[in-house]
Amino acid sequence: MEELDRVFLRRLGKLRAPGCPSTEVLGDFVERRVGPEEQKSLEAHLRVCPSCLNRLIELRELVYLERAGESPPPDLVRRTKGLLSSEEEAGFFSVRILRPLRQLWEGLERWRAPYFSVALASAAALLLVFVGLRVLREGFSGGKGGIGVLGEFSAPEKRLLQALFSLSPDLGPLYQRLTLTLRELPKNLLLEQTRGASGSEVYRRAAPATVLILTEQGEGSGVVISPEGEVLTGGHVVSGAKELVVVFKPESGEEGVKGEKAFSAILLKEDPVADLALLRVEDPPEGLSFLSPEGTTAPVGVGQRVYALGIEGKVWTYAEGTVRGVHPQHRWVGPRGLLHEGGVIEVALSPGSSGGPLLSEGGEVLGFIPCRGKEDSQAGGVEGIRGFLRRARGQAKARAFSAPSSSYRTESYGGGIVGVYVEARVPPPDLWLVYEGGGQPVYGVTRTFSQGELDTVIVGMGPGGKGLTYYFDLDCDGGVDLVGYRGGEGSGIGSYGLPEGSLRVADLAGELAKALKERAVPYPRLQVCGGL
Amino acid sequence: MEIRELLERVLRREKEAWDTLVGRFSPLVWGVLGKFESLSRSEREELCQDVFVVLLERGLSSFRGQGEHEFRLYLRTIAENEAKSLLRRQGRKLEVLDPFLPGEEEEEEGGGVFLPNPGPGPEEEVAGREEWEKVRLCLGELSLEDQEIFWMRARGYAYEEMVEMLGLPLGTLASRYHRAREKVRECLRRAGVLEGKKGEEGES
Repeated sequence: MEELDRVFLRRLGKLRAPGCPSTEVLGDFVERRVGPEEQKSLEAHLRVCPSCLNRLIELRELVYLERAGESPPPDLVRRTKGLLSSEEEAGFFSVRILRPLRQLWEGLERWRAPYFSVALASAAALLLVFVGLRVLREGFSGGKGGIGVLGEFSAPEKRLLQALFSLSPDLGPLYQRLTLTLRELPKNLLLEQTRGASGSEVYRRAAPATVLILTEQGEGSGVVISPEGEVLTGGHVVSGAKELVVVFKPESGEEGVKGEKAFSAILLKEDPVADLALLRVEDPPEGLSFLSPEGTTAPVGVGQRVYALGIEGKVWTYAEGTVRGVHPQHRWVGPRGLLHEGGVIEVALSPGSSGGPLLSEGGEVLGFIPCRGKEDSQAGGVEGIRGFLRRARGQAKARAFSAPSSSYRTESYGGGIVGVYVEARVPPPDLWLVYEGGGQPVYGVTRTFSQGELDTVIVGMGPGGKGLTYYFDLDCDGGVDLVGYRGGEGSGIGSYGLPEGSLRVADLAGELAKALKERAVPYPRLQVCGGL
Repeated sequence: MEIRELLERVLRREKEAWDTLVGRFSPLVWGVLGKFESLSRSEREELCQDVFVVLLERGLSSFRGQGEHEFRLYLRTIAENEAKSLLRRQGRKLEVLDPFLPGEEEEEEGGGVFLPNPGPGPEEEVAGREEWEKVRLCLGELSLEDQEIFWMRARGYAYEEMVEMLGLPLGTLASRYHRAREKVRECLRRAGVLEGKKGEEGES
């Protein structure tokens, strides 16, 4: 099928007919406030004027949002109304000061070394404002305003206020860990010598590209895979983390290690099924070392000699090993007890390696080891990684899958189903159900439906235990939009209908889980299609 | 109350008028901000408030429009700009769900055919325009409603929203959308703008 990509749509949408009506007239048309004559002539124009038609759609949406859209939190509305108070403009005044401050703070947050050094560096600049705020605070402490008024502000504003008044930011666990890490990094250089790692050519090339990743929950390691600062790591390392810091290995011979080794990073994509994640370092330094999984031509065979880099504690380590097996479609239980699937390479490695890249003798990337290794480690193979990267570097996440895009969604659906992984392409979407229950992991994947862009599909038993019922969530919001009934063996979807009442995909997942548990839906019916 | 009168009253700092304005239009601002998926909830709240701060500071006096609809568009622009500024300041990705906004070039004179590539020679441009004219007229064969359905879906609206906004049941929307999309493709092909490809993927 051809794709109606954005380029075409844009062009199409700018086509115009002569005599376009004004915004207000179009708006009146939306609200059906025009006379019958005018209505007819507007309709005639709109039918041949895609440009006006799109304006119409936008106006309609705005009316809809105003009248029937989601309500903002009442607390917010109250505060916003309070911006203009009849007695004093206290609320408004303080917000006026705080807003540019907050924006300044946000701009500063982009700097590499996080809060602590930034706060110190900008102390001088902020001092003036600090004084101003103090005056404000004291000035209002008598009346209705004062700290009470300031205390009404949102969490980031409170944080900012706290930071300004005490001139030291709230050092959460992440930053404490970071401080500790930076202090311990010089030790790494010493150990590097004693373990003889720095001598090896492979280590020398790969170590600068192996990074430590810190989150408020824990740490792990990753690999820099492009000069723009993309970092590959295990999904479980970053899952659920709100803030990410990437720490690079210091050079040999560096005296002390300063904050320049630590960079904040953002999560681009996480693949919970393959247990992979892609990060991007913000404002990466020039001349970044990287290891790309794209260029690998070396085949991987049993008995092959391989090298692994990792980070253990805060020390960069290096290990040699041999390939024990290559499994293109392997399933394993990950560190959080979740089931994963992907192509893996089993390696027997000398102890000490954890996380990091798996390399051939020539220094090519063969895989990536996301987990701490024991005696045998497991590396995600390059094919799987490449597939993940292709999807991860795709277009922006789409709310409704109407344009070419890839997207991931994972939730706990209850009833033993731990995740739903959706990859949507135009036209066919695939669905993975990751189910765990009663010790019987099962994957259920349904293939495409040529009827159109049908997104999330849950398969369950039909009424009376006959046939299969397909539940479609067209816009991926957790609600069932369409139901399809499949007749006997091998036949396609016989009919469609609308769900009775409101059904949630999550509830159905529970039903399905039950059916699977009771083996009411036989496993052979559920086929794994294609690869990741 | 007419929008112009409401705004005048707010400009005179009448508390009641301000409360009305906030009460009435905060869902709109909230909704517009909701389209920026990378915003956290607290950011969304902050920005929502910011929009009204902007209004109080200078926005209301800058608003030159006369009617409600223009005001809504104005609010939307402010909200989008605030969201984009925040994302840019933080160096975050600007995930735009609907980057396709033909409304911007309303005021443009002389034809709305947008050529995505740097301009070809004058002859080719004329040829391009002719083909697209054919497409435009071909589209007119579809009913207005079918075209609306097509555009809304193509621009990323969820079926659920469309049900609310158009008042049509979901099954109807889905099938009409697919028919409309086929028709659009056909129009594009007939005009020679799009190559046709045989065969379709997927199982029934």
